Amino acid sequence: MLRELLAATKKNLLRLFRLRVSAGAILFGPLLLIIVIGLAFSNTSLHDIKVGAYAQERTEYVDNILSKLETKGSTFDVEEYTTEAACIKSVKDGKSHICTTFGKAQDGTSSVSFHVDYSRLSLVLILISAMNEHVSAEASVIGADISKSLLDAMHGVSQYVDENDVRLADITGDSATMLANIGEMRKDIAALDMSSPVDPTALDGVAGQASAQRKAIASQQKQVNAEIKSSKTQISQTKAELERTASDLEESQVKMTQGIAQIKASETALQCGSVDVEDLSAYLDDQAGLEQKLTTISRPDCSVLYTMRLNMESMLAQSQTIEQKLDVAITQLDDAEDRLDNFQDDYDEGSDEAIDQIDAAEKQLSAMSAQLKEGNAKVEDLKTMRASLLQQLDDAERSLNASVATLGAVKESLGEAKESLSGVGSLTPEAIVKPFSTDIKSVTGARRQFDFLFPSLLALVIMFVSILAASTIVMKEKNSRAYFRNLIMPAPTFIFFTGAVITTTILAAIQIVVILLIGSLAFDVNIMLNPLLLIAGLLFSVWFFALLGIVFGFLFNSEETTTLISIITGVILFLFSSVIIPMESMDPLLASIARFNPFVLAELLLRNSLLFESPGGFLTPLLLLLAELAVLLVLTLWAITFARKKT
Amino acid sequence: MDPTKPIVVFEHVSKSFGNRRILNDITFTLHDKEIFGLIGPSGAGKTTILRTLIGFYPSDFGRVMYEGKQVTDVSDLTRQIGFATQDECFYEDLSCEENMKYFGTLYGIGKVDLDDRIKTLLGIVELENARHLLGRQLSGGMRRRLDVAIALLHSPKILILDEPTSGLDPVLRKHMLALIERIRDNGISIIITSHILEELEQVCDNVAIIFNGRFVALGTPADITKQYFPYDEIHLVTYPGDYQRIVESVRAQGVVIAAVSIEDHQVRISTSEPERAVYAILRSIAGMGEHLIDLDIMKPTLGEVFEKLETEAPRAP
Repeated sequence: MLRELLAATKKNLLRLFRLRVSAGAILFGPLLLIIVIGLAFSNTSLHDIKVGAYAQERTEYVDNILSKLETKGSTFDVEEYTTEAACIKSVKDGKSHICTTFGKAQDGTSSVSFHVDYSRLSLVLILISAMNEHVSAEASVIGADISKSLLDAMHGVSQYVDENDVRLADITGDSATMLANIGEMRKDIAALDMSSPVDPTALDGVAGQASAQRKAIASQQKQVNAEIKSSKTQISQTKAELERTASDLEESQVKMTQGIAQIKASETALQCGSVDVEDLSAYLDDQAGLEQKLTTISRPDCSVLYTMRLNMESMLAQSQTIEQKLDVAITQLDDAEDRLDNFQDDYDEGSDEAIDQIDAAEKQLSAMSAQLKEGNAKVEDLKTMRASLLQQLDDAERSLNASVATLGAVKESLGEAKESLSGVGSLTPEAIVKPFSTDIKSVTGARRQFDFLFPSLLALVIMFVSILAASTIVMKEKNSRAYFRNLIMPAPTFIFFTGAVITTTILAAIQIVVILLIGSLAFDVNIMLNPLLLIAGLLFSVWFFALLGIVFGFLFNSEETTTLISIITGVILFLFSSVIIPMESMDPLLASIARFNPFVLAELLLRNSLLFESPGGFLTPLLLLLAELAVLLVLTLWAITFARKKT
Repeated sequence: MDPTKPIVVFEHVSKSFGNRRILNDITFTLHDKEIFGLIGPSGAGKTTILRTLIGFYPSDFGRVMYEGKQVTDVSDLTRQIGFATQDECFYEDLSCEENMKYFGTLYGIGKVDLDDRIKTLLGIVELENARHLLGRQLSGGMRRRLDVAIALLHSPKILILDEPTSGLDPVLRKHMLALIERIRDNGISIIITSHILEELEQVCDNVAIIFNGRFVALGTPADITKQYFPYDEIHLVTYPGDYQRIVESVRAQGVVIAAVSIEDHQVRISTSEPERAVYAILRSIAGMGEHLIDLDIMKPTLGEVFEKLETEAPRAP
């Protein structure tokens, strides 16, 4: 396996170094870079800063600042302008690095504005810092005068506090008395009895019962009237029936009388003997006549007529008896009807009277109930008022307590203020304006721009060399005719990946050694501060970026695309670091992502290894994070290879 | 060739890329020390067969047997196969020796063995004096030979040559064919594809003609030509040229003649007995007082079979 890896690496190196331009670039590129940058930034101070100045009002304060700037050796070159616009234009035209405008003094304060070109941010920060240093010195002088006036005013305040301390004590005493009074009042009000003697709902029950009874009587009255009416109807019907029957009887009697007369006429016509006793008695002496009579009577036709007549006469007699009985019955019915009418009248009268009495009682009960409810509502209002009064008394007590506490606090604060003010007496205006002196010192021994630029430069070289070399190796492999033979080789794919990583490491190592040696020998960079950490940081950085380059090489098919993507990625990683603009000025979300930027990690590792004597523990998480990102890339490579085998 | 000893058997192998079927039910056997030729137009599927054989493409259907056992791990078969393509697969900016050392190491050959092997193979392909030349400095023939040498580095039992003579001049082609026969004589079975069908006819024991991913003919070159062209054609020119009488005389001598055509003072006689026919013709013209001016026996070639099949084969969609 090792032989195969070495063979792959040797092949890659041979192929790269057979191109003289590549070999030259690998060796002389970093050499040129380090020499040019080293010479350019190996100084420690700023010089030839062109300052444009415009003052709305020339004051002593403005003259002082400008004269101080002009006497600052070769650092500042001040040029005054007559208008603010001209001053600002000088920055735009590149004649000045910064335009300083002094505003009119108002209410004792003066404003100074710096107009700068923010596209040159790093220069802007240095300029503003340098200008501020001078302006703040002058501002301190002015501040001392203002502070003196302030101190005098504070002494006056101290005397005023003494006078008011006694008044505060009196107010506190009065408040305590008021609190006691409120307590007494609250007790008295709480003791008031406001319970209700009568329950109005009981009266409502009685009224309800009366109303129900009235309804029952009315209902009963209706029922009785209905029954009377029904009885009267029945009596009328019966009476009419009887009268009709009597009329029929009379008609029958007339007809029977007529029938009897007709029978008698028939008997007469037939000479039938009479059977009447009177008739027979007439024949007592006349036997012959009697015999004849009897003979006629005993004649069949006469016998039939006679029987018929007798029957009819009997029926007539009976119907007359019935007619008489009917007349009696009708008379009795009339009598009963009259009595029913009387009864109804009496009953109605009695019922109406009872209902009227119940109505009157009900009205009285309702009136009583309403009065009782009104009384109870007033009692409830009184209760609410009492509760509100008690609440107000509580609030008043709380407010008074708070006031007493506040008064105590005010008194205490006044005491403290007095104590503080008494301490101010020992201060001088100068001590107030500038209570402590500031001096910025480097945490490392390094002071030159180059010292701080060197780790970033190293990280930059590592990033671009590793990404571009690795992607170029992979692309050259893919575009070579031998690629197919490599694919059908029994050697595992990781041999080729690892070969590319090792080759890139060797190339990067050559460049790093050149940069470190020149940096150490020509520009006094201390590369032995943390040698082990430096080597680990360099190796991890190279490996990560080499793997990134290999992924690009495998992802894209054209050499141009791969190179372009590699450069774009490098530039993005570079810009999302603190090298040009501090990451802290980025959007917080992007800044939090940028902290995982491999270039940032690499730069931090190298910065700490080259500038500080860092303990290893601080850098281990960075190394681990870089290693985790590298593992992620290895997995990506594996996934790409696996996916391609599938297709 | 040893027909009793099959090395590789391709059984009903099919392969598609997307919806396009490239190989369709391909079946053939490569025997020990056999040179097997694959003939077909561009895009017919020749290279796909070769790449499927080396495991570069997995087959969709069918199976590949090696020495009687089904191949399950392609890498086992890969170790037994050398592959030389029409695009030489080596690094242009490495020398012949560096290329061979690199690929030999990846094949897992020990250093001492590898040095010996490189020396031997450079001798076989006649590149001893070019061992330090870079790939890009080699001529076309040298490049092709270096590619073959690399393919033989790991002593494979099978050598696959994809268009080995393509782009070479006739002399170099002849050298390459001689090299192929030498390799076969060293006990290596060879599968070869070529557009130059005469070469395949010359060196191949068996050939397969493939159109649109399907074998349309498979067998020895002679059998295939016989199958599609059963008669040889005799071209005869005499003076004064009484061809009717000559043909009747030949027939009278019992020679079977399939067809006769006379045009441009020449007679063309199709027969399955070319040797007997020539003898009969010579006897006839001697007896008739005819003077022989030209006599050719035109045997049908694999190229003619290919042309015939190509015109008959259905076009790919």
